[in-house]
Amino acid sequence: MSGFRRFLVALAAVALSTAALPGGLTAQETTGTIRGRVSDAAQLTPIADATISVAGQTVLSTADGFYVVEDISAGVYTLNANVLGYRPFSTEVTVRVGETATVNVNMSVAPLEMTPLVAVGYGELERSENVGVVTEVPSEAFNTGRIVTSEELIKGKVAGVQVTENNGGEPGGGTAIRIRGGTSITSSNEPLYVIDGVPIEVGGGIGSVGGLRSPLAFLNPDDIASMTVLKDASATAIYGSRGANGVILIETTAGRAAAGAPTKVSYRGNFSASTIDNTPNVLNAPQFRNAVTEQAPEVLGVLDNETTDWYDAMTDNSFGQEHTLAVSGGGEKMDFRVSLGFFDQEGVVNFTDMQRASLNFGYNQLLFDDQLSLAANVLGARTERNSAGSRVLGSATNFAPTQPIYDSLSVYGGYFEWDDILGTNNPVGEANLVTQQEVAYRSIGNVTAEYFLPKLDGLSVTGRFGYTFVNGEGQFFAPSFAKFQTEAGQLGTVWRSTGTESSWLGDAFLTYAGNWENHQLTATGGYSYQQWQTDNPYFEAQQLSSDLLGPDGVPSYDFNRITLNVEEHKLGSWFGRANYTLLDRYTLTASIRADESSRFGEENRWGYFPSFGAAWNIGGESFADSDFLSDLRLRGSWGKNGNEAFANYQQYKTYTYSENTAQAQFGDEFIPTIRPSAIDPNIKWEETTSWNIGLDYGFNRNRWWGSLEYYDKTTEDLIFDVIVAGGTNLSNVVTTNVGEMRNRGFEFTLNGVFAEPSDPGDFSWDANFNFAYNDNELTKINQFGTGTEKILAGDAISGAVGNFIQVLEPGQPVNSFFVYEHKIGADGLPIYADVNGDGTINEQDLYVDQNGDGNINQDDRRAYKSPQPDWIMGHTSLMRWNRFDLSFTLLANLGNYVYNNVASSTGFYDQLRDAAAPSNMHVSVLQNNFQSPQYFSDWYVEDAGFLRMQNIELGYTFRNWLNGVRIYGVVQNAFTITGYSGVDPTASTDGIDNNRYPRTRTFTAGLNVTF
Amino acid sequence: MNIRKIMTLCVAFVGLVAVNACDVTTEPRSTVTDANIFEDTQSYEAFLARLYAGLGVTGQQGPSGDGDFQRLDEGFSSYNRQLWQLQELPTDEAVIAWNDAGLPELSYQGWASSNQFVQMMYSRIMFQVSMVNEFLRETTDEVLASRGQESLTEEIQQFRAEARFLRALSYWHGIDLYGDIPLVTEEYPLNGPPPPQSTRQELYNYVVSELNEIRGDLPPPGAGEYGRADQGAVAMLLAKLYMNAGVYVGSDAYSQAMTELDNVLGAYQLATNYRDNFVADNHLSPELIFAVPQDGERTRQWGGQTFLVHAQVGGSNEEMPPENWGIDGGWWGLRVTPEFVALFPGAENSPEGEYSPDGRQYFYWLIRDNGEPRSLEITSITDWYAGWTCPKYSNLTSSGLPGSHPTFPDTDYPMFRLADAYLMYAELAVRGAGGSTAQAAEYVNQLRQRAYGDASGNIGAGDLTLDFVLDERARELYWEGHRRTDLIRYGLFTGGDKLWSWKGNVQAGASTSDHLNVYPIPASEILANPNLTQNPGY
Repeated sequence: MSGFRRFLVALAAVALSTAALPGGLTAQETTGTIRGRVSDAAQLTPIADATISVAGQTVLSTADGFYVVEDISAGVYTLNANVLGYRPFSTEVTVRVGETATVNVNMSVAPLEMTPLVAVGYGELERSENVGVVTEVPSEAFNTGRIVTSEELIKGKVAGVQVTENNGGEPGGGTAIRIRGGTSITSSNEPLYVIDGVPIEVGGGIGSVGGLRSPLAFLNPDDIASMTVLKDASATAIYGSRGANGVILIETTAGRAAAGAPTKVSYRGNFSASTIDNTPNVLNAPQFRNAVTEQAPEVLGVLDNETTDWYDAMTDNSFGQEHTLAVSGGGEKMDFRVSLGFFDQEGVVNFTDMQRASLNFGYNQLLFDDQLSLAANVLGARTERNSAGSRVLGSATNFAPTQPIYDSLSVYGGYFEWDDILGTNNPVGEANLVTQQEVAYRSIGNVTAEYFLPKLDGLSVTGRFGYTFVNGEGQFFAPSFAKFQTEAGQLGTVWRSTGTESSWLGDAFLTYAGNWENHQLTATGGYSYQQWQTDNPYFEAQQLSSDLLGPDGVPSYDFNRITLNVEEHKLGSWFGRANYTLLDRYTLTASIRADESSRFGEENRWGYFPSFGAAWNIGGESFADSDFLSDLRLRGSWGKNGNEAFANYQQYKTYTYSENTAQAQFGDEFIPTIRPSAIDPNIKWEETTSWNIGLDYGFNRNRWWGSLEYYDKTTEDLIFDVIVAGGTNLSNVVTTNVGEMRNRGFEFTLNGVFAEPSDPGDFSWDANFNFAYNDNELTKINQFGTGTEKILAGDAISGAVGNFIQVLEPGQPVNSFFVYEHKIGADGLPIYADVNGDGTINEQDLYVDQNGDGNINQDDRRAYKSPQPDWIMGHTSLMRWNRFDLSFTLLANLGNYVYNNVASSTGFYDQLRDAAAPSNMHVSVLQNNFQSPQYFSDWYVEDAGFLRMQNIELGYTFRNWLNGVRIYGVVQNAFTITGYSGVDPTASTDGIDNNRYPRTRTFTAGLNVTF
Repeated sequence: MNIRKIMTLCVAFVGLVAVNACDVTTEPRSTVTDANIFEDTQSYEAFLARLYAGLGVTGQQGPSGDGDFQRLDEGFSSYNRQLWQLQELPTDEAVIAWNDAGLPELSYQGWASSNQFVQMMYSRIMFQVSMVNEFLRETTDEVLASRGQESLTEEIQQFRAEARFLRALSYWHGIDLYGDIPLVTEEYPLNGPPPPQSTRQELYNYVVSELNEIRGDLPPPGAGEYGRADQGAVAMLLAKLYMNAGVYVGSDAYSQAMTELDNVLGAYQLATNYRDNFVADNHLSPELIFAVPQDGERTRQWGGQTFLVHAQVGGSNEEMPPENWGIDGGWWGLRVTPEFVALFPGAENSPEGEYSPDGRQYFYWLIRDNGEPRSLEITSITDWYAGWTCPKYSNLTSSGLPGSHPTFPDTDYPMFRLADAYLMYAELAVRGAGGSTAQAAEYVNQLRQRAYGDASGNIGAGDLTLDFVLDERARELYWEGHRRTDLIRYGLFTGGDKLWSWKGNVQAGASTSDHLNVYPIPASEILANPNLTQNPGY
């Protein structure tokens, strides 16, 4: 798109120069010249493509930053310089006849500045033309420090965008993004990512194959130039059946290099150390022994006399490093950038780590009098992740602290283990004995050609061919003598899971940008086709005859499982958009996308997704002309989006063959079976209809600016597994379009310049505040629903089997907790006593009988709070003084609740009464005195609102070395203020804290240098 | 390259992309669809096998994975695990220590319509019905002819009869557990609207007529392949229906029950040892009329007998060495009530070892490692050590060898066996439905002689009373999934006439409401099918 961007920049420059004509001076025969160089004030690196306007002329700086303005009449002029990402520069210059005035322009970075162009689907628009809710985060404003996956770059930066690591501090543990709340229950709630114009499969695809659970884990953050979040339907409807959860456009630096740039070599590197922030609060050895003595003296005999801190034995400080070496440059008509990155991060839990090696290449070329612009981009990476097994953290919480780690007589590889098969397994043993690794090779790339048609001013045609590819391999090995292998009868397991997903994309579209007097029209329309194929072979062998081959071979075995799954997904789409602006004040926009997806059933082949929007630039009206109010713009939009991120082939009745372990016995023979599937042949997309009202404002020459948005989104035809009337289908549920939910909320953004520098080197302070409120409500879950229905939801909690703690209930937020109301005693603690005097402490004593039937059962559980935050707030400050810069980001959530499953599944004395393997308890037991588990008590649903200092960075730039050297230090997760009693209030999006990977505090020191 | 060429290329590119992409249809590649599955004639037997497997496994992978149901724990979704739980836990025969949501409520008759186990059993029943209906739709003469497979018609005749037997069996469970549920036959379209509710009477009539219709297409009693239905299974199922007709339709049919038993009594033999019916090689027992086979290698699941064998064992490895039951560890769950123990004379007073001369009890390990006795009283449902265990099932063979896998027992689930028929005969004789009480006493004594090892426990015809038969059914058939139905037939399941520990959620036992004689239609089902009316009292 760089050609188009340049075209628009030029357009803007022309407009600017006309407006900025000073007038008053008549041309003389003799004139003077102004020349100079535009540089980054801090790094003193040249800035290309800066717009220099003086005396009615406008020029662009060259790749070396130089500019020349000739033929200027003598006089005093104001020279203005503007470039994306920097503060506007302005200075007075005196031109004398026959002389050359030198004005070097040192521009300061302004990361939070409003950019003149906004990226939208299939193009860019001038900000004044745009109606949709679009927020760009340029790389200068990204979060800093140890960034494992690129989703974290914009955490806390954009109103209404919630970024959560799915598994706390685990390197590569997965990241979830919710834009204005989730719109789905079983389909993906993740946004559509479009990397340099190539969309990646929603909710998985290139990111998830091979177990690296973040879509962007393969990207080197240093290669990202900007991330743009599209939030409302006006902005996202052009992505049709994939836009319901918002869209994030990612532009890589490779796609944005400037023609004629000098050859530059830059290096960025850093090292980090991480410490564990918090660990589960369980009893230590003396406390545990005391508890056993008091509560279950009969098991004292099985205790040893050790004092083992199992969590301590499982964790350690960890270190990380990251290096990026980039070479960029170009000639008059071309430019390129190559970057090589290496990333290595250990996890604080032993045996966990992630590595990434990336190689990216970008190339741009102008041809045929600059009428054809070609851009090619290839990103590639190898990622590797090692894990310690999924159960070890839970085991570290549960294992009795009186027991030793090692036992030389143990048959379980020298690790102490309980004999009982239900006893907790030694986490140190499991972590040491298990090999679990995921390696993935990914690549994404595209070639884009944009041709400006001669003789047809403003009309261009763009063709793009793109691909995504990922090959991921997961491998696992556990030796036969590991306790968890013997107790499950697996006796040695080796498996490999190889997944390949490839896709290709073809886009062809026309773009027209025209401008007549008071009219401005931009229109885009075309066709896009994308298809994906996945191949997933898998083999597993159990009951191995030998452990000697480890993960690298298969000895003889007694059980195996081999599967192969090949799937395709195709999506063909027509799309179009028009933006029309009258008198620079009134803008109308409309877009439409028609999607035909292989996932839609026969009667729903095509989905249509329109949007309309309008904007009124009130600030441009004469009555609103004021120095104080520099900008005021009212926007409104309406549109429809879809979500097709559900499984393939849902509309086909398929038959599944049974494994040879799930057969039927006829006489002495075992017969393999086939099972037909339950389907809805007409399944289709989930449809979100939304409207948005927004107000952009700017005060005091835009020293303070921002926006206010109100939105209302209704999602219909929600897909989930609906219980079907018995006898009408071939399972208890069928996946179909039933259900409705609504998200309403508002967002407020304020950007401000607290301190404006008058000279380079002065103190400056830029700040961003963003606040977002969202109210999620499920309105329908059943086609015959009466409003009283409830469906258990979420993931099963730890504790007894099949216990669900969340519910889908109309009128409540999705996945509200579904709990008993625990009666609270005078001491403020949950009651645990025989209140009714029937001789036992049971549910009747503890919980409120909501329906008054004298019995406490599931009918007395009620929806109570939800994991989704009401408020998400972020703040970023950036200060510079002289050669120092200081920035920090604060993040807060309010109204989000977490079910403390660690406390509920271990905080009771029955844990001790397993005569063969007493388990450790959460400290809450000392206070609550629960004898038996109270999984469904609302006591465990805790307010997990928090305020976190996400990162603080201090940097210093040496100007006289090379082309500028910057050193910096960052502290991430400096502190968290929360009332939540568990390890981490932000452990996951699902609201169940079940021995999540602990969060870390990370200290990073780094260096950026350009040669 | 000039501009015209470029333009041509651009247009060609757009055209190429659009034309190439106009069809997005993709068909499944790694699974077969209904378009081609039956080209393979093996598929018919495989589908029939799946109908039987509906009683034995929980999905297409063993022990779990690719489950038949969604949103439910797969191990919980097992047909015979839930049938067993709903039939045994609310009675005097069993309590279970676990805290799974809704499970303690089964032990004390406190379930609500949202209870997940109540929901799962209902789903299992209707799943069997749907699958049978689909099988019948795919195997009509017309459909076979349309596939050019007329030659299969004869073989498939028996398949269809077996499928209809399985549907009848599930409908029997349906009317027994839930009362009025929809009657859905193969006439009802797949993906159709929610079916109307039927009455117990309609279902009863339907099942009786179905069983009588298919009888001729099945092998004679005892002649069917093991694990498959034959006329013996049909007769036994009909006898069960008639036996409980008073409960199901309000009018007794005892004499019809007696007639059906005649088809069974002579066709099978008692196993020599009582325990041969509950061990890893119980498929060899000549006593089994219809069983759900389970195999450690080939029919793995976390429900069924895997559940039953493991759940009855617990405590330390010294207290109850799991290898004594051929398994790799206990699950610390099932115990019996003191009222059940009292059915075995002398048991309560036994210090250890030989608890009662009646060899059918397996009360086990009174004394724990720490020297304290396990309490006979169930002071708490959730305390494994409160109440005696009675591990009747074993994954050791009759000769004491371990089954094929220590986690997944080979022990088959004995759904119908001859001893049950004997005791039904005895009850019917006492109820005056034919036969003779002398013959009844003879049958009972065959069982008791096997239990005692000699004639010391034998009774006379005069000892035969309805109460005696009920108690004898408990002694002989406990933990085989009959108790709830028996107690309801006797009018003792609810109300205050018979109390046992934790009935009504108090340790001493309390009267419960009669509406509990049928389970509620699951709340989720009421929502999915607006035609349904909830059972009274829920």
